[in-house]
Formats: sequence, C-alpha cells, structure tokens
Amino acid sequence: MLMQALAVGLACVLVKFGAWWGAMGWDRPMIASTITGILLGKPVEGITVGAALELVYMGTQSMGGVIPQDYGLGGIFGCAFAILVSAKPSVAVALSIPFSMLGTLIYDLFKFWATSLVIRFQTHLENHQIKAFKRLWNIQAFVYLLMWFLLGFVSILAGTSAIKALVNMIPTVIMNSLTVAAGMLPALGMALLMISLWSKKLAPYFFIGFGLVAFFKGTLIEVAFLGAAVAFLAVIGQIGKHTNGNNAQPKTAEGAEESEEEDFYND
Amino acid sequence: MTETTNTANVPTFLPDQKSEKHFYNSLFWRSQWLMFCTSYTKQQAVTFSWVMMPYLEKIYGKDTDEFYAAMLRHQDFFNTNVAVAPFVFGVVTSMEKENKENGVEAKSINALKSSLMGPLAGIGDSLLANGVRLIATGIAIGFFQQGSWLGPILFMLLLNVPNWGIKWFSGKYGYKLGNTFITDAMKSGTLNLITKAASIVGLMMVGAMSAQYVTFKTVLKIKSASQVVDIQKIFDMILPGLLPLLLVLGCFFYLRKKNKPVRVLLAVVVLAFVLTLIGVTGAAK
Repeated sequence: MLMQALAVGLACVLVKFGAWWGAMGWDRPMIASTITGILLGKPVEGITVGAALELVYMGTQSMGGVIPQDYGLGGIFGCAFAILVSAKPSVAVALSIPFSMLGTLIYDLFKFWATSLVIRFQTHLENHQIKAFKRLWNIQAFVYLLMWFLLGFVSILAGTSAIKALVNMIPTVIMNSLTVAAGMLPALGMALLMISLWSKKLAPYFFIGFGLVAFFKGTLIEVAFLGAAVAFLAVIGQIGKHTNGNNAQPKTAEGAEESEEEDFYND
Repeated sequence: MTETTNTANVPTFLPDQKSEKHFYNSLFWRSQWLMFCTSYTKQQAVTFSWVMMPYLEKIYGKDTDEFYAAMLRHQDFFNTNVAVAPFVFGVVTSMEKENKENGVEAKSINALKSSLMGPLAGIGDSLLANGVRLIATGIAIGFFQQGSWLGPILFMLLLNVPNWGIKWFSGKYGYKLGNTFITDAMKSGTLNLITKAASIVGLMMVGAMSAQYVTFKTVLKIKSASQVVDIQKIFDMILPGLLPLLLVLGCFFYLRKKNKPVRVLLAVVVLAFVLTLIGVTGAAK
C-alpha cells in the first residue's frame, strides 16, 4: 500500500500544480482521474472512471480562486478507490464526495496562512530585501504542493482498508440507489453551469441544445458545431455597432457593461 | 545585456527586437504562476509583483529605491483570469517604462490595473471556463467513456491551445497597444458580444449534455387485470428526456433562488435513495 499511497500523493501534487500553473485544467476530474490512473498503473480504468466523475463535478468550477467543491481531489480519490478497492464507478463517485469537501477545507486553511504572509512580503519589500521576498515566495509554493502530497499519501495509507471493508458491506439496494444517484447527479452539474450562463433572452438556446440530443440523437460534437454557427448568427448583426441598441441614452462604456451584466444575472 | 544606468535618458528596456521577443517569452512563462500565493485580502497581488520583478529590475535598476517603490505599488489587490492576465502585465510594463522615461503618474498605473482586471476576468471566464471548456468536455467525454486515450489528449489540446494562444498574444498586444485597445473594445461593445456568443454555445452544450448524461428513469410498472403499463414508455411518448429535463430545471431554479449546491447534492442523493427503496427507480436498464 506504500507504493500506491506515494502514487496518489504524487497525483495530488501534479493535479494541483497543473490546476494553477497556466490554468491547464489538470484539476478537471477527467484529467485528475487519468493522471491517478497512470500513476497507479491502470490508465484505462483512470480514463473510464474519469468520465463518470466529470459528469458529477462538471458544473463546479473555480471562479476567482473560490472552489465550491474541490473537484480535482474528487477526481483523484474517486479514481484511486475505483482502482484500489475495485469499487464500481457509481460507488467511486459517492466515495469521492467527502474528499472533495475535505479539499476545500484544507485549502481554506492554506489560504489563511497565505493571507498572513502578505504582510511579510510587504515588509521584505519595505526593508529592500528582494532575496527574502523571493525566498518566501518559493517557500509558500513548496508548502502548497507538499500539503497536497501529504493529504493524498496519508489518506490512502490510513484509509484504504477501512473503505474496502465499507464497500464490501454495502447491500444491493444501497448499491442500486447509488447507481440511480450517479445517474441523477449530473443534473446538479448542469444546473450549476446554467447559473452563470442563463438569461431570459438566451434561454431558448438551452432547449435547442437539449432537443438536438433528446429528440434527434445528435452527438455533442454535432451540437458544438451547430452551436458555433448559431452563436455567430446571433451576434453578427451587432458587430461594429456602438454599445447595445437598447441603451437609448448615451452611457459610459463601464455603465453599459454593468447594466448589461446586471440584467444578465437578474432576469 | 545592457544594465540600467542611473541617468534616465537612455532607453534601456527592450532596446531591440531580440530583447522584445525575449520579453514576450519570459512574460508568457512567468505569468503562468499567477495563481500561486492567492490570499483572501489581496488575491493575486503578491504573485503579480513576483511576475513583474525582473522587468521592474530592468526598468528601474536592481535594488534601487524606484524598484522597491514599484514593487510596493503592485502589492495592491489584483484578481483576474489567468489566460488574459498577460494583457495586464503587458500594459503595466509599457506604462512602467513610460514612467521611467517620461514620468507618468504612478497612480494611473494602479487605476488602469483595477479598471482592466474586472472586464478581462469576465471575458476570460466566459470564453474559456464556459465556452471552450464545455465544448472540449462535450467532445472529449465520449472518448473517456470508451476508455480511449483520445479523450485526455483531445481535452488537453482543445482546452490549452486556445488558453495558451490567448496568453501569448494578449501579453504581446498588451505591451504594444498599451491601454487603448481594451477601452476601445469596451466602448464598441465587442467584449459583450464575445461574452454573448460564448454563453450561447455554452448553453447549447449544457442542454445537449443534460439530454446525454442525466439518467433519470422510472422502472415503475402498473399492473391492471389485462395488461402491464410501463410508466417510462408513457413519459417517452409525451417527450423524450422529460424526467431528466425536469430534474435539471428543478435543480437550476432552486439554485438560482438559494445558491446552496451542497444542499441540492444531498437532496438528489436522498431522492435517489427514497425512490429506489419504494421501487420507483432502480438499477435495471
């Protein structure tokens, strides 16, 4: 179990690094699960379970550093338990949820520490100590990654046998319920995505997308293709026009932006 | 590499094309670290100054008072989308250079930063987090389900080619154009149009994925004397995908009223358990 714990610890480091460095999206559950699968020596399982995990966490995304649920850790631990205790994907999804919540808690603690460092960074600059400034920056980046390594390492080392026992105890009716829940949970992901996209004026596009798949059995690639064309049609008339047509009285650019933004979220 | 002298009349920052190219490359790589050391009070401020460090050293000279003044100036609150952040770095670097050579008011540099980060975060998030990510996910997830390597490869390419492309060019044009471009784009409404187009594609993808991936079926069959009525077949005759659609819309309208995703998560799980225990839903396909 030591090697597996090291592998999952390393997966945590890679996922958290690729999430922040360049915002490469390594914390998307699909990728986090793939990375974990590769490190545990079962890449194909990692990829397959990744799809199930992504569907649950699809709507959760980091906006301005705020993560409602740590979907990256959800992806790692979901995959790890699917491989290490051979849990079914629907069970792996359920097991990943507590870790996705633990992740936000741990990150909050780190962020408090980082916040306390802000003053020290400033003091170093006031004292004209650029070397100390650089050193402190390196330390906080290192601590950040080390923290995630320890979380992955300790959880797998200490928790796997308990989780294995738990999974073996689950009766059939609970297993069926978990399968049903795993099918329903993507609805939450979709709803969360709609929060940032929805407005009364744009609502029909959601139903067009739904219908293309539900009625006409379109694939997602086909919908993306049509979506791009439809989006272009919808904005083509407005390209090059000054501000938006419905703002009769002249406003400053910021004002127009703000009011547009507001009815975007309100209606 | 020319070192900065104390006299201000020789332009020492990016004197030729080669060093300019070097600067764009350097900015591209350094700005990748922006998210590290995010704090509650100032978000990305510390790392903003960390990214600017070598450029400020070149402009003002190593260990000079002016250098430290500039570093302290950049300790102010900063928060924007990582992909479009190089634009701000580019604009700020060109203004710092201007400040050294001709003396612009240092305050205006900070004012510009705060005016740029909001709209840029909005456009970066809507374009990449909602638009590009949803398209990439929609295209790749089918391959993931089959356990194909095409899944992760396609997802990384579809997400990061636009992401890194925007990063490289936004740094370059930020430095070249200074602050004129973004103000023009805001005035002409281009930013709103991009946001709108991204939202349209995003919503269509969300609708499509709701139909594709939300599974919510009843296994309930009502037995009367002569025949067995399959309730799911009736739902399918009314509208294919009716139950998933209602479930998604239900979650959405609740979330829009009260933004408590964890509560919805628990409610959905509880609902799944209750419905399965009373035999309305089940694992049967």
